[in-house]
Amino acid sequence: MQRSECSRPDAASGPDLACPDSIQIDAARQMHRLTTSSRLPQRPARPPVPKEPVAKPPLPVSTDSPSCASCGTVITPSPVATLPLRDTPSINVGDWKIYTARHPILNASEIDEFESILNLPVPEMIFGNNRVRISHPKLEIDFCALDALKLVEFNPPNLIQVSYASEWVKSRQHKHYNNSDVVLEMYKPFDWTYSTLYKGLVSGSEMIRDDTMEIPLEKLKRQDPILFFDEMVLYEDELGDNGISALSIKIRVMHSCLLLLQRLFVRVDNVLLRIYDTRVYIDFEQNLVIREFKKQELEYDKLFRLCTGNDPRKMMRDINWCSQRLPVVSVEREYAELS
Amino acid sequence: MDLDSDIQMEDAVEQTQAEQAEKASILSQVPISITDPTTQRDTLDGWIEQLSQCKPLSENSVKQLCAMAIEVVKDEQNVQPVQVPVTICGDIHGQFHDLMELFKIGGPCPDTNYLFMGDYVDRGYYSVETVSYLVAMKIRYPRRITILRGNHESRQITQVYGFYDECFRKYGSANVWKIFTDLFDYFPITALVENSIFCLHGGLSPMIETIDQVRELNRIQEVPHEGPMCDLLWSDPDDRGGWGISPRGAGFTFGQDISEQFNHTNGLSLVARAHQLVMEGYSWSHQDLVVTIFSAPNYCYRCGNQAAIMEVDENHNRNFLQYDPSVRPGEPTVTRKTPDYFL
Repeated sequence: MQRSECSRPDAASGPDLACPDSIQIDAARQMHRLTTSSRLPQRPARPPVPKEPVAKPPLPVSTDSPSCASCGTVITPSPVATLPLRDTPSINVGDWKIYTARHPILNASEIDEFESILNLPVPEMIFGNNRVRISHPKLEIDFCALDALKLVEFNPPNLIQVSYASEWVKSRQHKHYNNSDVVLEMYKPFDWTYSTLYKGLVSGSEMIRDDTMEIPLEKLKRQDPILFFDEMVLYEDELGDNGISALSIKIRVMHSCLLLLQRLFVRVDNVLLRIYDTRVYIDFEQNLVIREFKKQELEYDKLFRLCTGNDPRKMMRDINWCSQRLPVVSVEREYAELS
Repeated sequence: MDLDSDIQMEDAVEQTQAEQAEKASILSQVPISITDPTTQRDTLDGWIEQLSQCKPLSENSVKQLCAMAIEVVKDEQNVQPVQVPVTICGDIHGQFHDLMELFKIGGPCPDTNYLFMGDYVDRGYYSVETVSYLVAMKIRYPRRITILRGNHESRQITQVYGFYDECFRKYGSANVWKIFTDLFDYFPITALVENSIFCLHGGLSPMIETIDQVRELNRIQEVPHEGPMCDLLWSDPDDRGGWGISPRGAGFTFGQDISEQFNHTNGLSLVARAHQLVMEGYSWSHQDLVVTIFSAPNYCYRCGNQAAIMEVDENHNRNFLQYDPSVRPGEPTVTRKTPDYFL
């Protein structure tokens, strides 16, 4: 997709929407809807959200992204479809700096380095150089694959097994080619679903636990112009074709706030589905940081019963669809106020 | 989140129904006979020409294509002998344009002999075109191209990882999926290059000590969940010695001692396998007794990895050719990323 030119006359309604920024986002969303509509069975259209005028003048914004020649507003970085993959621009809003980096998967020597640190085999697709960093003079939050993998459990109390594990192991008992006992050694048992409780690494300030501190969804539903958007995968594994484990991040920065969603999605076929969401909300005007960690989980069979259509497994691959149906196991919230 | 962490099947450009109907009517006019050799060759050349433009065959043509293919591959051996020179390739995963790039890099078939080690379907957007093309080439040049079975050439896996979905979307029913997966049962599972390089998709099995034991297997079946055939298509080399079981509760890893013993027992110089993504497109293990070859560049349109193929010449010299994704104007080389108001 090409970056649209910021040349359209100010035809949009409302003073805050005069910049074609919003037009561009609409176009991008339409394009996105087109490309996803074919695969998503009846996705409900999001109801139009009434626009509210921005009350305060926005905080100063600086970025590597180009500005509109006519109105000076930052043009939302469009998706860049090039190889080699390259860093995406970062953005500053007030005292806040947001930086993201996307790179190819690790090469052989980098993998060796990771494995010597982690002491476990890294996921098949390991984007070890991908990174999101949000920093303020008093607080920094970092997201990267290495830190996330450090929290993968060894000898987990409830080691998940693939659906046919007992059948498989049983068949191995007496069928060795020379009928001698095969020494079958289990790989050092680690959580091979790469489920991690990683919520990003905070430094500089303490986060205060308060489960009542909710992220203001109404504000985030407002379609304020997005100044900066990026998404990336930190790691992904096909679990030996027994499902998927993927840890990915999306971030969007508006004039007054940002939202980051880190999502771990695990599907072990015929066993279970699991989603661990970490949301970081930052209000730039109040210098307020809220972090929410939510666990959802359900047995595979139970979710499968909710699927319809010719190809029910297709729905189980749709993370959004799953996230709306998996029951919430726990939610933790914490915040930090920087003055 | 709409991130395609599990690649969803979609075409880069949506076709209108009218276009599809028009294409279907053109396809149905292709004269077909699978009895007369000249007509058969002309038909095949027509199909290959059409497929090389990434246009899928009609359901009827697929039916005939697979019937012809079964006749060709059913008599091949579990350990199909292959002569040098040959170019050995790993996973393709429906990345049709990158397969065309592979033939550009390695030289056109049939001038160059090829050996593919499985995983033609799933993940990429063009599994139908990819597997149709390779199968058509196999029928047209049966001695020039060898296609082995990968763990994705199975009914069970293709229902989860996209091929089923793609067939349903492109043909409106699961018929083509069924026709292809029935054909996959006949694919040979291993190949032996001049009694020296043993080629297969996954790796070794504790139930297989000699290559002769592979010859005794009954391969014409769905890939089982257990047993030697399963291992050959699924297992992975590992740094640890001996046989290891994955913590998943199924699947073997084999150590260098196992590879040494197997290569020694069978007089082999090398085990060539695919099955695992590697950033450089190929990767040595077990002190050059085992090589992994992966031929899908920028796997899943987002890994940024190189692909590789291994040429083995008349004198058994090996040469790796690495390549990047093909550049296709108007198509993304990475997954689309559009700003959205996620919550």
